[in-house]
Amino acid sequence: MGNPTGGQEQQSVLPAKHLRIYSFYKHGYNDTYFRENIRLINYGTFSHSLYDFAGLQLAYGLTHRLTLEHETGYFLQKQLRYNDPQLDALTRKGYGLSNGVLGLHYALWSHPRSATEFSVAAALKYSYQSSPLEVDGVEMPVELQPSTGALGFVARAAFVTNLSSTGLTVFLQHRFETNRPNYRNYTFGNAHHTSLGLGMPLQTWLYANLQLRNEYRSSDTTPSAARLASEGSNLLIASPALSFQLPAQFQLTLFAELPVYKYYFGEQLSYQYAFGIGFSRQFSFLSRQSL
Amino acid sequence: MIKVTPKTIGFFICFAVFGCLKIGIFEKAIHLPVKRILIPLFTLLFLGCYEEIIYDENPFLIKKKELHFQSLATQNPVINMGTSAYIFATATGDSLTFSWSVSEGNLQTYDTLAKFSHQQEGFYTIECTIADAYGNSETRSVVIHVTEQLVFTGFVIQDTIVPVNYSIPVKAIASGEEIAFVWSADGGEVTGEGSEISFAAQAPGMYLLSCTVTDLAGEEQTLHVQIEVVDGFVFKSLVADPARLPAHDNAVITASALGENLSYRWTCDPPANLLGSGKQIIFNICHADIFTVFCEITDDKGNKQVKSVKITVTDL
Repeated sequence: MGNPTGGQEQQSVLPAKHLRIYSFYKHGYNDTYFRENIRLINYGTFSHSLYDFAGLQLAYGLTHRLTLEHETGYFLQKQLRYNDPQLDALTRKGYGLSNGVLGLHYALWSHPRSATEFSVAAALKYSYQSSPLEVDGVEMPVELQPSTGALGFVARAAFVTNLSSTGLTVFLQHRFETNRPNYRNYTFGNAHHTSLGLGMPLQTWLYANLQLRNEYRSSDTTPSAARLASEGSNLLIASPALSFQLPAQFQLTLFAELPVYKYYFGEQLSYQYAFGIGFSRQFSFLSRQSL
Repeated sequence: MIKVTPKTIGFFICFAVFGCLKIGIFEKAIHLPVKRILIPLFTLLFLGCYEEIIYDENPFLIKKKELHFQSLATQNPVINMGTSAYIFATATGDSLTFSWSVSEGNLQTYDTLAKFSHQQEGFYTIECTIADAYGNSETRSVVIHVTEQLVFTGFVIQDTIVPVNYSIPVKAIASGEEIAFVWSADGGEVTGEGSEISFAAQAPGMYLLSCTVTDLAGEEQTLHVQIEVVDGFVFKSLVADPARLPAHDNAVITASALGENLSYRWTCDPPANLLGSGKQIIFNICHADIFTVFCEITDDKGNKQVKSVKITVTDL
């Protein structure tokens, strides 16, 4: 479990004394059980699950090579619905603050003329909650908890380059997340996200982006080593996005996520789609003299 | 269950579009940069065609309950001639049928309830056989003593530990000719008359409640019951039914408590799906483990009590 991706991740470091704010809304939907890569129709305890998430990503360029980054968000709702109408009538929605991720992003090598950069980032993942979410006096299940309730660590490496002849931007990024046991001694599995992206200007005010992301998750664990609700998965997700340049240097991004290949360890409800909208703006705090 | 081969409609569509793009059928209609995007995209969609298993009926909605004959009980194990004993059968299972029998006497049955009377003294065995939809059955029996003497069997009382000001109903189980009941207590308050009264006390302590039963012949019998009155509320029990179940099945967990304005808080370790709220919830989980469900009850004065129950979930 982690913060949902926002359709516009920061691949390169920011210039010094620049602040970038990106906020987004994302809706995600899961249904249909998978056993490994076999689709199971008319099967399972749950009919579907969904979430609505509002995310906020902040980045500030400390130097021309080093950027301070923070991401967080709030689950407006998390739903887990049952096939059994008797159980479905009793289900409740989860909500609340997700994890915070605070870290540093450093450009190991950059070539400004070709807009090529290789950077690494390391971050601490933390939880705002020290106890599980309860609704009407009842503890919500793991799937409806808004955060991991545990410390974690996030590492990232990104390569981005601009093919000046075509105007194409290409990036390759790997993100690794690991979690510590939480207040229930429940450990969420590790996640490896590998993204390959292509960005292309269609108009001066319109930019298209297609990202192909592999999401590998290992199983959650408990001290009793029992099988768990989330036993891990290996997904290949296509994520197209369109960014519009708005007045006052605002940027609007529309994005979607469609899994093109799904493999689930054990039997799990599978990812169907997600879509969202984001706004971003970059502010400069450079003095006029330094400009 | 029907197993479908991976040749789904999507497979064919993706394969066809992919093939058309490769051999250049859309050469004039589609510009080269677009084609360069479409070919890998449809290659991926082609990968996204899965083998399917279609279930005629969702196996997780088929809830088969094992036959569980919980009890065969009566409040009147000794009765007078001319009076009746009521026998209750408690069981869980699917489409249960109840068959009652006795060697002699008058037996009227209403599924889970039987009413027995006889005009001759003696001991009579009443049998109850419960059968479920799957051909399983179980038989239990209870013995009823019919006598001419005055019989004062005892009391039916929900609990002998109750909170202050809690009105607890008490019933005296007795039979005989034109019997009369006289109740007394060494404190607290008795309200009502006849075989059923209510008892309440305003202060904590031990109270002795007495009942004297007299029949037409003047014969009398006296029995006592001790009731403990405590501050706060009484958390009687926390029960999971069943306490052992296969993954994906449901267990009903019930907290029984005596008191006013109680609020219930439920947690589970390791985490599981707890559905509902209040004094009864449903437990459900999709994997095997041993779970401890905690129920914390709080009253409006801030008194708190916690009980837990263990639930063993086995693999399907």
